[in-house]
Amino acid sequence: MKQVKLTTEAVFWNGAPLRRRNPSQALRDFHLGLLHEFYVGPEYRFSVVDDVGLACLAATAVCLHFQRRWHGILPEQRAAVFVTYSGSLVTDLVYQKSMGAGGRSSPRVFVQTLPNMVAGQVAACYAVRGEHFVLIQDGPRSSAIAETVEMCLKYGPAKVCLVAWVEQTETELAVELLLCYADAKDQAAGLLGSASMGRSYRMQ
Amino acid sequence: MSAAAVITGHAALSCLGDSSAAIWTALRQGKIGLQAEETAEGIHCPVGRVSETGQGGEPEFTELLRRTLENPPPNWRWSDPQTTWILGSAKGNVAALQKGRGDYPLSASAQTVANTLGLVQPPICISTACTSGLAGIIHAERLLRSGKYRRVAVSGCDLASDFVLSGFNRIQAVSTTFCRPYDADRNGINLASAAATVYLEWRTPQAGEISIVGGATSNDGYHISRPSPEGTALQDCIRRSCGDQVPDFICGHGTATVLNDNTESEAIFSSGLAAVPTFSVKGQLGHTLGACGVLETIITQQCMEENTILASVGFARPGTTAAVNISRNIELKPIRNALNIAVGFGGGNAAILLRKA
Repeated sequence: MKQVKLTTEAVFWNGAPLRRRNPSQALRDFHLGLLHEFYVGPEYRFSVVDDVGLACLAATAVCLHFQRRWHGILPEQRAAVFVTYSGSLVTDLVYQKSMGAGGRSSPRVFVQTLPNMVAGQVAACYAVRGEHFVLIQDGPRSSAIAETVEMCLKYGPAKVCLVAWVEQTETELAVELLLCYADAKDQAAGLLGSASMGRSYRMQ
Repeated sequence: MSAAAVITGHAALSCLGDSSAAIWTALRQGKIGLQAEETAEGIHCPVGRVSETGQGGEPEFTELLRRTLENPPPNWRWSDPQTTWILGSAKGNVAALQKGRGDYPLSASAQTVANTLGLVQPPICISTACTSGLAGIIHAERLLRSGKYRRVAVSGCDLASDFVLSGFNRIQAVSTTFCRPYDADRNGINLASAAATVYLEWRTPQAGEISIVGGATSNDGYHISRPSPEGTALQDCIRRSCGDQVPDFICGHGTATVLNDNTESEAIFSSGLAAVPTFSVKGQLGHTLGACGVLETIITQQCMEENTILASVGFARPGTTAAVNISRNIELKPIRNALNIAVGFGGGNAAILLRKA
């Protein structure tokens, strides 16, 4: 398995806690700390991100840190399928509040109200230039996710697909990440905790 | 010809009309459906509304969507397990936050509509900003090709809500005059509401039928709100969609922002398609965000059926970084292949190739 789960308390690697957040530590500091520790890449540009975007960048850094094979794959052969339910709800509410009379907000806030922004930020920072889909689904166990990953790997040039479940509400923030390689031998067994996705892919 | 994803039906609502046929007639006549409006934040700009009474008279998100799904092709059965539905939208029903009209999550809106249709399969929702609709068509073509489904409907829907108008204005992307795609004097987009649906079926196309024969998505991997200046990832999409085919025309994204149109021109030029007539319909019906991919696929199909290349309304003087052939007048000629492309915030790109049997 090659699975990362990031919650507000800790980051888990294959189910085991890898780093825990100090209770007195701000969430953004926890995520920035993970980035400083695990990010490897030519470009470091994480300044223009909201909380959920930063969480995704941190989780991706942890996930790819342990994946030497990822770094040998061309950017055009790296696909991304991101999935969420609430989408950009938290940022939408922030922007909505700023819309009233005399309200102000940075232009970047509106850009980040698009649900695909976190995937775009990951793509920009980790050179993911292949097939690209963002789904809005009820949960991480949707068959639509498995189908989308399968279609990307089967009909596009992708050799690997970065699959993410991203959920942010006003009280919670969670990111689950998994890498699916087109080579079935390397296919992860428990895709986002769902056996159905693994089964679906192995049918190829 | 072998089996392909054949377009067996379509429906659309936009500021140019309440049916695909009405929109086509208006496009042919060179009409502009955008009308001057004062937004909630006091900005005066052209906006495209599906209702003549303006934003207040526009149907709610799910109602607008439902109206494009009322009349599927005769053999269409939503209750067939081999039938599914994909919805693409950039902002979905974001007005629910403000007005409490309907559900906020896109999947909840989609399920509400799916329940009224009697759809057995759970709807698939794609939100990749302005490429949402086209990404939906690409995904649908693959699902059909894989044999997972026999029929897939793809809808695109977005509203020019206060939220969206405010946001695009704050990033200084809105033009206060009619937009001018690819023109030297272009200065931004005109936003518009729209909903559109195409019905796809996997079978051997009959003579004259239009099918989707190629498609690809990609990401610039560059910046979330600025397209890559070289348009390399969009070029990759075009190459993977077209293969060795040269389209007879290109229905471009052409938003009329300086950066988008430059990137698009670079990608078209680098793909060896600089001489291919290219137009954008956004000068007539505005930028419909996540709906544009589906709406413009319907328009592309109509162009192919009528052997017509539309004029790019608003274009007068070349002004993109790469020289491409922007269509100035309506042209009649035999058409076999056409390319439809879309570009979006978040670095997304999408392209499909359509073919007439």
